[in-house]
Amino acid sequence: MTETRFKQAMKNQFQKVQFTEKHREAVRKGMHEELSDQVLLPLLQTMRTGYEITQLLYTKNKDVVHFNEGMIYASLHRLEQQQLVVSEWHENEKRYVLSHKGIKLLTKLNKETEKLPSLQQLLKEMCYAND
Amino acid sequence: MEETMQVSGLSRDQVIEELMTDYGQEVLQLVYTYVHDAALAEDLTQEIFIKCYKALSSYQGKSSLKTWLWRIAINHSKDYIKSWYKKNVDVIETNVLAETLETGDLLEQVVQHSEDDALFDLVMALPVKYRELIYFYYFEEYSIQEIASILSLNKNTVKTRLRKARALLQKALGGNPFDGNTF
Repeated sequence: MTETRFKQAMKNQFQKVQFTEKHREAVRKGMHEELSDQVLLPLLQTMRTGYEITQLLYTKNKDVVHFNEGMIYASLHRLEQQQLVVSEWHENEKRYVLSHKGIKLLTKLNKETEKLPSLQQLLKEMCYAND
Repeated sequence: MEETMQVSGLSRDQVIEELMTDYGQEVLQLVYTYVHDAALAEDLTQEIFIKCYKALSSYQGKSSLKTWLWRIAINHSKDYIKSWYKKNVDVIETNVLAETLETGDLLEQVVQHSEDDALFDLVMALPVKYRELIYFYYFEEYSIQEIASILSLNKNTVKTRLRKARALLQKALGGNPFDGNTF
């Protein structure tokens, strides 16, 4: 058997796996969750409402939150489902704060990324992700 | 290896998008070489790109972005294999595999498959340290130097292992799988 023949045989086998748009989408979803974790978890060390978080981010970067308010609520919902935050109702408003699991993840995130991107940078990326 | 991609001007999403366009298929193939299960390889490949996204802010630009991506992919695949083996496999079973390879029975076992399938199964039956070299050298056609850099190995180690990998395949196939000089 020649090398060319061997390569062809390998190539045929690799037809069985194809990197497609489906996989790209899954990666995008993962990146998105990762990004919102990095932005939201630090803010949720204190108990806050979704509105307060939106306002807080708004003061940091005006463009972002205008487009992303829905995204923030969606992320809070996901974080709650993942039991990273807990919530309670207080005078008709839902307030969120990190759970024990959330605190552990935040500590891990801080340790993992020695050189954390600045909040400003993260917000810019959020803006991009929403385009 | 190749030109270092200019990371600074791009957001992390953009870098990952470009990496997926340029290397998505190659990473998937590499992972498939390690785990030999299409669905699993797809999952692991997705995890690898998300891992890159997380780690991108600590990328120092010391190696090319491509080499850096390969290393993350290789480590992630090997970590998976290690934890899987710990959970599921007795040492005995791996020995059976090694013996099968040596006696060449495997070729007979897979005789109902096409020749391509049989050959691929043979490569898959090689220990990981030889299998990855076959992938990079014969399929991706990287130089010894490049492979040494990606796998963080000495050049001579790469050469020795390649020779051994070919010898193993040769034995199983009952002849030299590769005509001509490849070193």
